[in-house]
Amino acid sequence: MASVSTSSDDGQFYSIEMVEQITHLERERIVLYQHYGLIRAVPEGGTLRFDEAAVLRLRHLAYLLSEYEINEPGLRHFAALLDEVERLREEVRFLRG
Amino acid sequence: MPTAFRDYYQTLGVARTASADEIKSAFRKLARQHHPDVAKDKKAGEIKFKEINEAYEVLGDPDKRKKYDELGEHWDQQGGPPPGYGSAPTGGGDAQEFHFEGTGFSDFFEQFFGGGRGFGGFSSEGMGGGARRAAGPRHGRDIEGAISVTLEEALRGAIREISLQSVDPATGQTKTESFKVRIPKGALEGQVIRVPGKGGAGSGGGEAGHLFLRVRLARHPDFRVQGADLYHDLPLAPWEAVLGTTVRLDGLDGQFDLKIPAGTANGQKLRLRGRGLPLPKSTERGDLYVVAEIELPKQVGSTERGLWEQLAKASSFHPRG
Repeated sequence: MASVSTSSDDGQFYSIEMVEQITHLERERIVLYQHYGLIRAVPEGGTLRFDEAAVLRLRHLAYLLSEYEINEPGLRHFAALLDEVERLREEVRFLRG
Repeated sequence: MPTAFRDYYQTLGVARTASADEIKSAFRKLARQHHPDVAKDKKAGEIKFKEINEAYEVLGDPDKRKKYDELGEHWDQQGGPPPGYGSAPTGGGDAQEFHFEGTGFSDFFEQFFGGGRGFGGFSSEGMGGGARRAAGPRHGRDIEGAISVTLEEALRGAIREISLQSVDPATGQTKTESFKVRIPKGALEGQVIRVPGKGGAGSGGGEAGHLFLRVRLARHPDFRVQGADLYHDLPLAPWEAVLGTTVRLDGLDGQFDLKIPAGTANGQKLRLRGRGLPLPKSTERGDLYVVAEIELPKQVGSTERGLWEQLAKASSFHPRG
């Protein structure tokens, strides 16, 4: 059995430099996606910080961009649909009790 | 991989024809009995509580229940789920089978209802308009799954042990890896926890993908969750709502008394600040809303009926004008 490792720390937020490293996307693209609302950032001390959900979203987008050359309007549509699905899923879980 | 069938109807003690309300009621009753905080045997209570939650996760969702009822006849045929079910790696590249343990869901649930999937496995060369599937290093697939977290774990934070088994379709070799996952204090529904490098292996010198776990808060018998706020549905007798009363409630932090004001309407929410779940990156907490649910007696004896009739004659309340 492989060794034990620990996940990222308590609700970790990342700088844009760390997000670049994890997602292999250029800074300019990350800022553009944040500007278009494909990912959310938290302003902290004059800089932008990104959570794990943003990292996951960017990995998805990087994959679609690299493998299927989906254009930016397509990526925005995809991101908007994913956001709506997650929002509806949470609402349904709340209503079902 | 062999998977044992889970009889969710048996787990909740309901008939296969039970209504949605009957299923919900059975879940709440059992969840209260076996909640780890009240169960005599904590360990056994935890296991049973997870089973009950998983059963309600499926039977409490009309779509999943329908699929489960259909699945009943076919679940063990052809070694895998019928089309449209559960975990299936997606995206380009060779399909790699994987499954989780320790996420709070059984193998059976993960296989048919988990929705966990692999995606990605991309080359960062040629990004954004370059050659598709460029030669050279390719990052491993990312894996996305769900982890069931109790409200108590979300309140205090926790460390969970997860194992990920993957089967290489080319060689048939099974690889199992175990690791600890930290559930951050204040974890909310839908929050993502990344476990770096625990996704699929990269190729050509590319780095391994990541494991992303989405938090699914286990249903609690007494609370519904919306963001960091908790909602508790409080049944009241009509006279309690009219005259007011004091009730003893179990919050996440322990028991407390709540004064119900006279004239509380059905559906009225009483807000208790700071008794919800912790807010992310904050020392503050969301709120607890107690929602009044005025219930009527199902059977009325002759003395009670007489009193209600007296009230009907004496009252000046006419809701229809």
